[in-house]
Amino acid sequence: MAEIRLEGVTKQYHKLTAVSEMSITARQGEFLVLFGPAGAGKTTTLKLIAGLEPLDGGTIYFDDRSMSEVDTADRNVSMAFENYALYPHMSVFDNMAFPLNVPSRRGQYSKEDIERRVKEIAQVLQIDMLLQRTPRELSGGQRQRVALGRCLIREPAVTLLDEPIAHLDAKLRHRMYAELKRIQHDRGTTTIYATPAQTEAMAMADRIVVIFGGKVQQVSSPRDLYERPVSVDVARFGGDQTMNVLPARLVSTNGDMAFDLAGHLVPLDDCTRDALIDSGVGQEVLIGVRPPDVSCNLEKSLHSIPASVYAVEHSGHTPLVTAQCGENLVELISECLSTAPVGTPLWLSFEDCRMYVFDAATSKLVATANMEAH
Amino acid sequence: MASITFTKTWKIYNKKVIAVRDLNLLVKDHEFLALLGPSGCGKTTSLRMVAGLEEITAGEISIGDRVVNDLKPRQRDIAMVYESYGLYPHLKVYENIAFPLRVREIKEAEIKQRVAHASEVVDLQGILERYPSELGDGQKQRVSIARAIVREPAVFLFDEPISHLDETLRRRMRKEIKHLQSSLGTTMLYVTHDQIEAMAMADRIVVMDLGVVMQLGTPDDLFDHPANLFVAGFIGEPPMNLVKGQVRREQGQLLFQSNGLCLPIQNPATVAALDRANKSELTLGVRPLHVNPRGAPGGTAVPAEVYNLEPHGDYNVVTARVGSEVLLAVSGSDFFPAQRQPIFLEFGNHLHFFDGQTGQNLVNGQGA
Repeated sequence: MAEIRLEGVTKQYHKLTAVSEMSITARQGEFLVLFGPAGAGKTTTLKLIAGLEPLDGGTIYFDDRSMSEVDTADRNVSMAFENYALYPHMSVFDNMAFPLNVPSRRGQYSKEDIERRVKEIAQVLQIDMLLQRTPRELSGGQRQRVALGRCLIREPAVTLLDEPIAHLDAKLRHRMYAELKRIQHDRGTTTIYATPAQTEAMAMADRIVVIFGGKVQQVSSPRDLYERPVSVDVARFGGDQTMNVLPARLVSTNGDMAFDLAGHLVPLDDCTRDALIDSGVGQEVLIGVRPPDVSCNLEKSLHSIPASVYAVEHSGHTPLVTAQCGENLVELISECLSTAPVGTPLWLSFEDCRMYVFDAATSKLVATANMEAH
Repeated sequence: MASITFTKTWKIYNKKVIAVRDLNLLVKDHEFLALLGPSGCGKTTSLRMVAGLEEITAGEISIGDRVVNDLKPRQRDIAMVYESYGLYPHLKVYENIAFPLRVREIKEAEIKQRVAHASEVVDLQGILERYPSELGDGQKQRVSIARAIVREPAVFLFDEPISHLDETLRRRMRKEIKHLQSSLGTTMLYVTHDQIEAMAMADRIVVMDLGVVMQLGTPDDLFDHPANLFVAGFIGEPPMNLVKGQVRREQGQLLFQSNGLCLPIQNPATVAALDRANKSELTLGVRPLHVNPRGAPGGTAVPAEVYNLEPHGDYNVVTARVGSEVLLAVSGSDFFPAQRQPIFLEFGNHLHFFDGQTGQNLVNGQGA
């Protein structure tokens, strides 16, 4: 159990900057998730923490001790990466027990202790019936769980996990979120977990670090990431339904402020108006609205905007309707449009809904209706 | 545009491996039909038999009223889109799209017009002079879709066209493909292993496993009335809770009993169906959406313990322990119980019961 602190960490491959000036802290006993698209620098960050790659700048501390001169073997980390790296000639049992049998730990664990640990973890990961098989005889999802089991077999200073359950089916994945979170919670092991899947990040993280292009975009709790995304990119990345983002102009009509959305006026609520005045944002803004917050009607009403059905998608009970609104596509949830043909005219309303306002120039969040401005 | 008919269609490899077993299926004219299942279920083989890329071992396939068994692929009036795009790297986007028309020796003026139309439909106008290597994955797949559109085929055959794209792009392409198919009205046979994709786009879905049709129905049918355990477990995210147990009578009340879960079965139709079936071993199926977690006891709510909480923004998925069972439940986003907190699960009326041996839905999914 340790606090892991990165200060101004930079890593370059040839001319390419994989990790840029990264400063983050995983608190002692925290489940920290690095969340970003492929190529964001998540895996590189984990490798730097593990000491598998040298830094080009900055320092990594484990409990205030600089790791600059410390080898991987002496950092007391355990890792599971997406590409298994199991020993093909060893049984599942021996693969999992491997970290307990390495020369540097010889004698630390009794035979009974090793057996107990392997069986316990194997049961949790639902691979206890596979202990005598070799990796060759396993499916991708099973191999991945063996690699994960090997990583969880002892209690290190920090556990580093890189998409460790990417290859499991949906049924097992939810269970594994729960088991991983529980093991981490019970042991209090500092854990850093990389994934491009928002569901995974939200399901397990105490805090989430959003990384794009090697740079930290936002660090926050799962709830705050949803409630207060710092920028358009963060708001639109991942998720079951992404936020609709529409370009608009801030105008004043009859002394009141309103958004001009392609020639259609949307009035502002007091909260948003006050926040916008405080923010000093220019005229050009981007409005963010989540699909469940968009209301739609088959008839025109005050402040509604004309649109037409572009596509209707189903998922169990909530049809996701995409509407074409001028140049923009807007997603919304509507039971009554579930069988509407393409081109069906409809009217969208953004009034009284939770609205996010971003600065068009910087894409940064400047106001939301239910939060104070940033 | 045309229908596709499979009549007693079989595909057997090397005289012993059955890839498709006695497939009978009508894809209606203008319909978007998805073939859905895990790898090895026979979905791609079925599609390739329509395309003429696999020989039909037995039975018949028709496109419209024409039996196509003995026709060459290019005589079948189909257009395919693959996961791997199949673009010509040495040809620019324009020429890639024009290619099927050049092969048919269509006049230059018409080619120009049809390429222009197809590239407009999939939004490629700005990049017609580029080479495939200069395009992103989503653009490449759009080029391959445009190449399918210019042919103006009777049917589209799409084979996992977006499976390899990242989440954001996949979500966008789903809408585009759905929009394209509904506006052109071209019959679509669409192969995927991703139930979310099939549910989102298809008018009807055929779920296959091991070469056999497990169920054919609309997305709502499959979600609300799964015919068997396989479909129940395959469709839906978060996945349906499946709990093995027995039914028994206690003081006139029918009860479902498992390792830790004991539920009264109220619905008279379900009680009657279970009595009729008279099975001792069965599996209860209930969607997380139909298990309502709450902080206070009451009514028939079952006591449980929070195992994990997944916030999804608009809603939360609660993993809960009931005895030795682990169940998923969906709550509103304002329900934030702590790890290990005692909670109570209210089971709605949407209970399914499956035969412990055959996996068949015993109540026809009509709810309990």
